[in-house]
Amino acid sequence: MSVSGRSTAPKPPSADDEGFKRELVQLIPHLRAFARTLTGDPTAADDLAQDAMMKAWDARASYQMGTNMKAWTFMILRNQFYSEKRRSWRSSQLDQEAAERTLVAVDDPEAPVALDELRQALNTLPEEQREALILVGAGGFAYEEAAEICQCAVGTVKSRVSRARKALAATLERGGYGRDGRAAGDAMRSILADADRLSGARQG
Amino acid sequence: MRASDVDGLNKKPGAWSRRILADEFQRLAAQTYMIDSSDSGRKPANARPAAGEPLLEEARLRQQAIGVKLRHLFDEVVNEPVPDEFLEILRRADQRASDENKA
Repeated sequence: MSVSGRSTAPKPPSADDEGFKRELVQLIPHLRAFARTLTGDPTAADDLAQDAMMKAWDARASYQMGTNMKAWTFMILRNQFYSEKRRSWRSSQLDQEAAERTLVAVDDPEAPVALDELRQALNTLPEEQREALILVGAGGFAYEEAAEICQCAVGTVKSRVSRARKALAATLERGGYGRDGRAAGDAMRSILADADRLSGARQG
Repeated sequence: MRASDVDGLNKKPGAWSRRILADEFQRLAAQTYMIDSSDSGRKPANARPAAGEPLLEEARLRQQAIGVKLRHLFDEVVNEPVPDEFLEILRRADQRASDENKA
């Protein structure tokens, strides 16, 4: 590797680098998942997750080992998303091709229907509600951690999550995300059925 | 449950609600996904809807089902193998860092 023009601030030689890297590698799958929900597109999501990973790596001197690295990297990824987005990101978010590519990523042949419906319903939520719900409802973060990641008040996160849940249920209930040829309520039924099936499958 | 049972239930309005007894479902969901820690902080355990409030009960059930699916959606990506590209990028960055340290 050449020592060319790329002059980043000198970092202290760090014995922690190895440990940091190990932790960071373990977080990659989670960063990818979060990025996927933000962008709605697998390719854009991986670009975003890679950028965030590199930002985290470059900023490792400012990270304190032993604190919540997952929340820290999620915050980096989220900031990255919103700053890039000002330029172009999510323009493709609602385009059908992207939606279908996301769909193809499903590997359980029995799961797609309900998952697709949920994915589409998620896309109808305002962005800040969607991210709050994902962080708390799927990412396993406490409200306090989600508030840190989104740089807002805890109460704000709580109300966003609560509004997101209500809106999601209502959307699935009436099929208001514009899917053709399905009776209202089918989406919710298939969600219930699928959740039930999953629970049953894990149980045995 | 077989697929044909699911179809049958899907065709009858309200069949699912009757079939999935709330407590049974909750037990399974809790077992599978440790649901739903986010709400438990807000509501005391006795704030559960009483038996006379089937609509609330049903709403709660739906929220749980959505929660399960939401985690499933997320975990599906988490469980995908990480593309080599990620590790390659990190490896190169690491290499660069150690070169700088030596310099």
